[in-house]
Amino acid sequence: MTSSQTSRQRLFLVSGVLSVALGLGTGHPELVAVGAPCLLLVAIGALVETTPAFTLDATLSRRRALETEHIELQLTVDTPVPLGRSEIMVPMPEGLVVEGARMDDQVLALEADVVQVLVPAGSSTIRIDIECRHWGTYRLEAVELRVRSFSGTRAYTAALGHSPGLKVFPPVAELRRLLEPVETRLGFGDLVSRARGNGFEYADLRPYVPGDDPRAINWRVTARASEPWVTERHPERNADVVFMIDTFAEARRGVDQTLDLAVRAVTALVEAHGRRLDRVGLLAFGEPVRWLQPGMGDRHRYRLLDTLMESRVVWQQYWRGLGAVPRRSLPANALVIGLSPLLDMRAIRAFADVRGRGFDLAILELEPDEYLPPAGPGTEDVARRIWQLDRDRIRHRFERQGVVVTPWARNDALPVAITRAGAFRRRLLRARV
Amino acid sequence: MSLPLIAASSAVGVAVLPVLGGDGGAVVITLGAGGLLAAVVGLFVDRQGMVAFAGVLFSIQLTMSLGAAQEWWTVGWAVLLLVFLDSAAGVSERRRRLPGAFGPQLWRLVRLAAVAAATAGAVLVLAGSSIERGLLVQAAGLGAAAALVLTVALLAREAK
Repeated sequence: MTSSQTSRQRLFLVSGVLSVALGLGTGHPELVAVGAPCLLLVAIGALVETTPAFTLDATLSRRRALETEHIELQLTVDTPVPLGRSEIMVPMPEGLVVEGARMDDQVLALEADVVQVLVPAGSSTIRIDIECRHWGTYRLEAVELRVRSFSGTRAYTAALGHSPGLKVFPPVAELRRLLEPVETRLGFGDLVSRARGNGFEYADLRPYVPGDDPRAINWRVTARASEPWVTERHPERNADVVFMIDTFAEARRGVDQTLDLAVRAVTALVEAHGRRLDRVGLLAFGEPVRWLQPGMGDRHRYRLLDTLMESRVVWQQYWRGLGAVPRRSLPANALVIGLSPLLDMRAIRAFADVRGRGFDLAILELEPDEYLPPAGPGTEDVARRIWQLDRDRIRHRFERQGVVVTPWARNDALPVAITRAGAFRRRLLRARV
Repeated sequence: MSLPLIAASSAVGVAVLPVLGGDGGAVVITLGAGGLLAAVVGLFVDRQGMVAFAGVLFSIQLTMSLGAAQEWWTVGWAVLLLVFLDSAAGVSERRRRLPGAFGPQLWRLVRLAAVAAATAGAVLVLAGSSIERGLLVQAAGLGAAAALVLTVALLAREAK
């Protein structure tokens, strides 16, 4: 707890001393009478008012929440004496909003992130209702309890001993269709492999050769052909899927930004690929590069989402290239899904580098157009059109390399974009063969 | 009633009372107008120095307006000055989101005004009593000096 003087002390002192000095100099007791209250308040503040010993502690009802959900911040104030009218400062980071506060079923006044409360002696619990409006990782460290003395010359502030942390996730969009990788892993999953082996999906028929599993003999065909034939099947496998998020640049209008789209898409895709038993990894490239090598299971998914929630676009000139990324984070045969507004050349080069190394790459282009102000007439309009042409050139260059670039606008549904990307990929893969 | 309105109203009262109650000459009116201007500017541009300067002008205005007889309206003036200083500081604190600046302030100002009226009245009663005037002046001087020394010592301790 800290104690500090307020500006009143100086004001009262200047006014009081001046009035008394004028009174003594001119011999008017009225001036002394005018200065006396000011000096009395300064003296009360310095001599009579003692520093109250109070503490403030905070706990959150939950450490993780979804967007639009409400959580409760419980503040416990311990004080041996009544504090009287006090203020609780609850300045929230952008993305969290204080909706209300109450103490023992009594609704407290809330004004500009300040809760006003009468704190009695003993232990009191104040509950603050917080609405999670935007995904992200938050730490509630600026919460403090403040009390001012009666004379107004001193203020006492208690900050939190430890600041509780909160992670807010975006809501998960349901995806029924996902991008299918060109290659699968050997692990068991829901993907039908192109290879032939033990599985459920029918692939072909062929004559029996010594060494074949007798259980694979197709008895109907064998009866008609008078020689043993076996049924070949496609095995069910899983795949490695790595999400590459561009944190070099973003388009932003107010609190809306292209990174939001990337985070929402990855959250939904991680959930859907997890259900398909795929291994999922993350590569947020910018500076610093954050990565999480592909893995499975709920714990890994939570780790990935936790890393994802810490994603921020930090403008930096420096970029070490893909060489800085550990090899394990990009396993061979992995399907790499890039999410980028394609605004920064370093990101575009990184995607080209990934494709050049032979990875199966699909790019979900987070359309920046909607975040831009409308182009004015004349040169502005021409510049915007040139810029659009340049972006088309980038898309065509990727398509020539066999990479699908699917635009995804803010108001479009993610499943539609994924379905469109899947259709383009199938067409592109056929053309390549 | 909002805090800036309370501050502005009390400043007007502080400027007008010496003109109405005391010897309202041209100098007194000019000093009052100057003090009021400084107070309003200090409130609008959030300058504590301007508010203190207004307080100085008001004090000089009061000195100029006092006559030989004991002036009881100065109790009201003392109350208005304290309310003006406290609410002006409150306005500034609210802008800077400093402790104690939020919530209703009227009840606290009423209590402060009561304290100020009682103190100023007590001093005037003492001044009008049969106690030797020199003794009273010495006591007031000692009190002011003690308050000054104490506050300077406290400021120095907190600055460390």
